[in-house]
Amino acid sequence: MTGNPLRIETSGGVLVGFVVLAVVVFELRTVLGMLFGIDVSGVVYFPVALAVLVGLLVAENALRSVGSKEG
Amino acid sequence: MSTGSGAATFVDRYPEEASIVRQAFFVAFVAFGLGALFGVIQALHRTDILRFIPSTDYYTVLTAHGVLLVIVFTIFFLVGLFQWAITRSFDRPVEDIRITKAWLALMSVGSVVTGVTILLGFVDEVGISADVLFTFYAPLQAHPLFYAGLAVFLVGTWIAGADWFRSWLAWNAEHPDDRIPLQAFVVLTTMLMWYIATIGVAVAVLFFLLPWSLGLIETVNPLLTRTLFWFFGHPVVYFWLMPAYLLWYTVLPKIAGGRLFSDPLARVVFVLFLLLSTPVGIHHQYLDPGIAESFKFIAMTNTMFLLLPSLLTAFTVVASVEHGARQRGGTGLFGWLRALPWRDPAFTGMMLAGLMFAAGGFSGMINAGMNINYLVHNTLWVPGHFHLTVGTAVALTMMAGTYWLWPQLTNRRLYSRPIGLLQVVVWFGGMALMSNAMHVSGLYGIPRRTAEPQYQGFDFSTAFGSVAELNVQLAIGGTLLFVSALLFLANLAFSWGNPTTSGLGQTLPPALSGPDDSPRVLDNMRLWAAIALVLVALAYALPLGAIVADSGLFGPGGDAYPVTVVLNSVAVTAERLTASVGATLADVGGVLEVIR
Ligand code: HEM
Ligand SMILES: [Cu+2]
Repeated sequence: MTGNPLRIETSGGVLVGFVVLAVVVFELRTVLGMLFGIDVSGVVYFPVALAVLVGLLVAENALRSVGSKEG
Repeated sequence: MSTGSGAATFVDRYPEEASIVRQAFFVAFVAFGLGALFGVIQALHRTDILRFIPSTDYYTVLTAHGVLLVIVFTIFFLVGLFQWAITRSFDRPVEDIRITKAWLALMSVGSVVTGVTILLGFVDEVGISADVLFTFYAPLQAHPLFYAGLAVFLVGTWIAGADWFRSWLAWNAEHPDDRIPLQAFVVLTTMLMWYIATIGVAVAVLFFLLPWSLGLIETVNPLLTRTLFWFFGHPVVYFWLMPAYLLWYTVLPKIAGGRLFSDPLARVVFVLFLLLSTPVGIHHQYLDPGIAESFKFIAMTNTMFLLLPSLLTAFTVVASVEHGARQRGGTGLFGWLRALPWRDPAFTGMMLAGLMFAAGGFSGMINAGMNINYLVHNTLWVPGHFHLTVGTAVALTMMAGTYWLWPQLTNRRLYSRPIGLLQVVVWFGGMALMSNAMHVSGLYGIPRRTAEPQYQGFDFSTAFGSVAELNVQLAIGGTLLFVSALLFLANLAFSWGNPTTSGLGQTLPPALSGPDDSPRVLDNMRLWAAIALVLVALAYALPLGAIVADSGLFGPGGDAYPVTVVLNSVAVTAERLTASVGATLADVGGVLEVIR
């Protein structure tokens, strides 16, 4: 896996993955509201969602530097 | 991307053609910048967050936004990209550069005339306006210059197509046994589709709208001009999409580190688009009362068939990217995703565009369903849908493609790749916000094309959240998109300040399964064009005939078709059919009896 000349070590994937995940999490509230009729207040949902996402990002970063693996 | 393969660039090899491509892109990006500015003005205005213009000017802004983005930006980018693709894949200069310059000039002059006519709508003193929206059918009427500019623009695109067909013929004379290179194949099939599609809009403009706005004829048949517009209006969406497909099929696999999975499958896809993209336009008219339900039903069925080439594309493109990832050392069921060049804005932009296209495809299925369409028709849901498709799948792919192509057209490196990456990611995030807000607002019944959708003494009922919240979300999304557009334009402008470098050229690898794995008949342009024409005639002869018979060529519009009449006639036909089948069966039974 490593040592492949084509392989570019990149954290770009983490950024893109994070944004895509954030959009999915964002859409989840719409799904809850439109499909299941559960009205979750945005004032609660978005801060919590953001905290979870940032937590994940920090965890990923920590794991990556420990394992010094590519991501 | 910016390292290059050390090869000569397109501009090294074909300086004159490269200059044409750059000029076309330049017009495209000017239109894009203006269009984005109008976009954010609308987003802030209709949500009542910030109002820069009086509401009476809203249609001027909306017309400029629509025309500049979906006519000027997309189509100028298309002709630039197609010129590059034709020259590159035939590996020969244009036959006569004067012709090439002429069509680009015609298109530019036409666009400027139409664009200025629209913008004059802001200056009441002049008395010239064209607030007819990019769909411009009657009863809205524009100043004649609007239609005249449009006609000149169209003629320009027709000559462009002829120019590329001429290149093909010249190439073919020297390579009679070779298969058409894939990029050229895309260009030729797309232009055939364009010729068929533009018949509708050319007839509408030349025979009805232009004479009507000049005062040569008193009245037009609004249903007829609508139907002729949508004859053109659906295939034009594939016209926007084909440059994006060209990039996804031929450039994206390379950037991902691999090769196109299957060239034959790609050819099948483009032939299917040629055949199916026109006989579906009536799906934009499900709510037009003057068209019989059965014709709408046929349009719906054809539309559902169009899903096939899009699903084939999703498969081929993902397979090619996965192949690339595995070449780069990626492993696992999904682990290969980690091996992709996500830091490259060209790659990430195209991938995010593809992802949003999938979402746009799903909301498009809702639009296409005859009965569910009633729920979303003319609501903000519809702009929500097409900002995912043309506004992102197409526009973001074009921006991403530019990051890859620009160095090869200028011999200058891109100013900043990190800014490029930020730009595509911000577009994705901004569009997620804006499009989500539009879709949901639409389901709550909030109309599109309205400066002030919040009527007095009336509240839209919401399933969750609130309209105010959706408005804020739409405005934030629109602002992010505008910022992203500025980042894109600034990045390109600053790239111009970079010194020229040699060796930025890129080559495109052949497909894993090459053209020789497919039957030659796929390259038979005459055959596909003929079938496409037959399908169009089948889909449109009767409805157009009925509209004219009902209310005349220039008539005021006829009566609505009650649904039941058609159902009755279907029932009667079905009854007769059963009766005759029954009789035949009885006959067969009789014959069998005799044989016994
Ligand atoms: C800066 C990014 C953009 C913003 C903020 C934006 C915003 C908007 C908004 C709010 C509307 C709805 C107006 C209404 O119905 O009242 C709209 C309509 C539209 N947008 Fe965009 N847009 C953007 C980019 C694009 C792009 C890139 C395209 C296509 C390439 C596009 C094509 C259209 C079209 C065709 C309409 C419909 C116009 C009409 O109803 O006649 N937009 N846009
Ligand atoms: Cu359509």
